[in-house]
Amino acid sequence: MTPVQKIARLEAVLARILARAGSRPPLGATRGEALALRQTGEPEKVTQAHSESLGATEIDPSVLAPTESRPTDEATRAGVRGASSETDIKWSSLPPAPAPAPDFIDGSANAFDGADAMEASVPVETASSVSAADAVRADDRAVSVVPLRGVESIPPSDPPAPSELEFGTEETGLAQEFEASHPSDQPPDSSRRLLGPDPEEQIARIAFGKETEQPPCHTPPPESGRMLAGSDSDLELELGTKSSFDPFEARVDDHADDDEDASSAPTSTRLVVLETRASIPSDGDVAEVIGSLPRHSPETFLQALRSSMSL
Amino acid sequence: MPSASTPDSSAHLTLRSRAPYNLLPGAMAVPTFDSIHAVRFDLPHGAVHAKGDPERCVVVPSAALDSLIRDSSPEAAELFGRAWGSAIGKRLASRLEDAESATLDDFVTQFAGEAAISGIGTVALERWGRALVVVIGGSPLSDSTMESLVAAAVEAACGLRPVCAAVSRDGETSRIFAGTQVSVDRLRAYLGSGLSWADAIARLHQGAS
Repeated sequence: MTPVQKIARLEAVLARILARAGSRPPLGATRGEALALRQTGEPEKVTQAHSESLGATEIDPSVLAPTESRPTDEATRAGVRGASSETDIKWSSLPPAPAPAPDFIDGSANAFDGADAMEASVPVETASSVSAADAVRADDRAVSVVPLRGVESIPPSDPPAPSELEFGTEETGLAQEFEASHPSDQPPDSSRRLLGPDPEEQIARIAFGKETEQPPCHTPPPESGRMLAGSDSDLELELGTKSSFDPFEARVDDHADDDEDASSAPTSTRLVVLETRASIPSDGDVAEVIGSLPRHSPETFLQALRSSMSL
Repeated sequence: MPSASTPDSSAHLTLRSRAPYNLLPGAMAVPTFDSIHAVRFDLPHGAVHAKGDPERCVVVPSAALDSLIRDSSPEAAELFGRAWGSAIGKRLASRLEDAESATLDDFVTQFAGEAAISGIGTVALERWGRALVVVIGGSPLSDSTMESLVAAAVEAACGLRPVCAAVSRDGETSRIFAGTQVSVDRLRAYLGSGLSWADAIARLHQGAS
């Protein structure tokens, strides 16, 4: 397996984890909220907050288990200090044994160290996190994950329990370890096809939060059927007998050729007329007749004679 | 002399001819000339009389008149023409019940009848704008004689004395403008400068009020 493929597999795992984490409310908010309420001595609110969080979304015990399996006294005293503005995700020595979800509320010894468990950026503002902001500071939200976009996701399955995973520094080594631990998940090379962008760019985007424009993965195939015949100018362009039209450039080229080699054959310059026509509407009332033709129609001969004698 | 053909520059002037119409009898009141006993030949007395004129008339060959007018002075020729025209005008006035209220058709009809009896040719009227032009066709007389003849005839018929000037001669057809001395002088000046008679008449309208 090439390093690129390994990185791609690693990205797939990462995307799967992020997708599963993003489908749930931020655990850090509800958990930090509960810890804060517990410190203030309001068990009713603690129970209420927890019930609201549970009622809003379903919490997968497999996801919650690692977070509460590392109680820390420091976290108990100071609550949860989660940096909510970074994207780095760090898991360290997470025990694989799952635990029941409601247990993390009971006992002050099961304090949650959000900074040690998961750190994610771009928090998702859910109903539970917004309601908990009144009692708990926003910084107490330890985990808030946004599902990534444009990453190929693999159908969810049981998360692997690696002994140690480090993201961001040794991707290649982790990929090898992951490949060794899960040889059955690897499809044959012939059936794998990279649908996403360049893995290096994608990792850089995940790690540093850069948003780079991704080129389209696929281009549609040309339409079948009859093809339109090209014009003479297109044929000349294809044959190289005619360059792209620019009268000014053509003149400049002619002078340049004269300077370089006066004895060379003269370059045939084809000038094309650039027409600029005015659009004058023809349906307007252009002519305007004012008054009527004065008619001199004397009734009698005497009037006609007098009129003629008045000239 | 300017040609009788109508130039393009005078296209804005409308020709209104008063030649005799070939209309169906009884369709409308068409003025007619009563030619019955218009000339009376008194054979026993060897006299010729025109209807409505007690004076005697003489049937004279046109060649004799031409030689007479040619050998005479212009003033004499003018007087000859005025005398002849005055006689025609008197007969014309006798035929018109009211010369002042006579229409153009009535006037030109009676005028043409009297001219035909006299043997001076055909008479028609043209109006180029406000200018009144008398068209004489087939006349044995010269243009200068016809100028005085037409002026005297009109004066004798309706009381106004116009000053006439021949503006064109196309074969046997002469056009005589009827106006004032001032307008006739201007018209002759225009004709002398090389303008055609139609342009001259059109130019005559530019200075008119």
